[in-house]
Amino acid sequence: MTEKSSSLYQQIVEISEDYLGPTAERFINRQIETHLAIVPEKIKEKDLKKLVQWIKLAFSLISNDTDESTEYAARLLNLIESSASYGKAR
Amino acid sequence: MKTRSLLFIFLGLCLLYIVATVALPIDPAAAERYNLSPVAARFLNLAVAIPFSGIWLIAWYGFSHLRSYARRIRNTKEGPAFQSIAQGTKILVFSLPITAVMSAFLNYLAIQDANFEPISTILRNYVRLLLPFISFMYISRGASMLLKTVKHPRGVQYPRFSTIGLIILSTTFTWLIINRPSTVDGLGAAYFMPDWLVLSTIAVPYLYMWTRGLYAAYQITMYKKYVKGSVYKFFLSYLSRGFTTIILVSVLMQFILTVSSRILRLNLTPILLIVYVLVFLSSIGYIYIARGAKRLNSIEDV
Repeated sequence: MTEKSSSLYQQIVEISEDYLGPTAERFINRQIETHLAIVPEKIKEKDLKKLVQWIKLAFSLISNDTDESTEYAARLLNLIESSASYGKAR
Repeated sequence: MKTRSLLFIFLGLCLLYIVATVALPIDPAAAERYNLSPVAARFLNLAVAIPFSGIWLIAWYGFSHLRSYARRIRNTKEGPAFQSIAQGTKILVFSLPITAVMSAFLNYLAIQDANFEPISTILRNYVRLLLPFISFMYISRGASMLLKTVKHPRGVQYPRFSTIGLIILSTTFTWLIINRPSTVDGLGAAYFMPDWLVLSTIAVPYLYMWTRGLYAAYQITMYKKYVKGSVYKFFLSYLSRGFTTIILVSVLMQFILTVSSRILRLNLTPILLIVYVLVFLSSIGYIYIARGAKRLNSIEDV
């Protein structure tokens, strides 16, 4: 379970790096620790929707580009579907 | 040292420069050369000093935001690089009022005693060189460290045409120094030193400093090109533009100052125009740096 969560965390960071570069990991860690009060590497699929809402809000404070913000959120939400497919396949 | 303490020192230097401009006696030779009365000469000095001080405050504004960002990320992979760049920027920003104040007092001493003019000129030349030299080394080191944090093709290490560009810059600069107007004993008016000493202790350090500075601007641009993150890159583009501008303007201003004897033959208006344009351009550079640093800080804020 921990390996899968770590992989989810890494996927979140990897997607975030496409927008925030080297600041992505710090950004994600802050969102998870502050708003979800969990250890970032231990994030689970059930936390993802809430996290994406916070990320979208925080991202809107950084950038005015709504298209980019929407794309970022959509890519993160796709991780839920990917995780669900992975679970069904198992 | 705390930012507030640095700010007080900086403001003190700016104020000292303005007071020196008003209080110290004007150069009678310069006033005669441009056909100015003592009052007009003082107004002219103020007309230069006040905008300069304003630009220096803009430079401080840019530096303070960069410093804030560099401190914020000091424990990250890019942290040491940004700290080095911020340190170099601090020295460059402080060099602005420091060299102006020292020049004003050295000029005053030269006016009081004509025998002091060579010493005053020599000291002024070295003061103008030393602080920007140190600042460019820090900025260059930081830029090099920054580029190493990203994967990039080997070919980006040196910009195209950099070799021929540097050869042209070196030969032009050296020619202008060697062919400057001479005074007594074959010593140049701008330096009061023999050619070999001017070339080895002023020209060579300047050329090295400019090479490192221009290369630093290139490396920061390459870092921006190869780093990931569309939003990060966009914010970084302000920093990149800012550093390119201030380094280019700094190189140009130093180039002009070192061959100033030719500039002084112009009428007053073109001289003032050149000075105002360069100072205005450098302020744009610092505004870009401030903007970039503020936007990068905003990522760390949320």
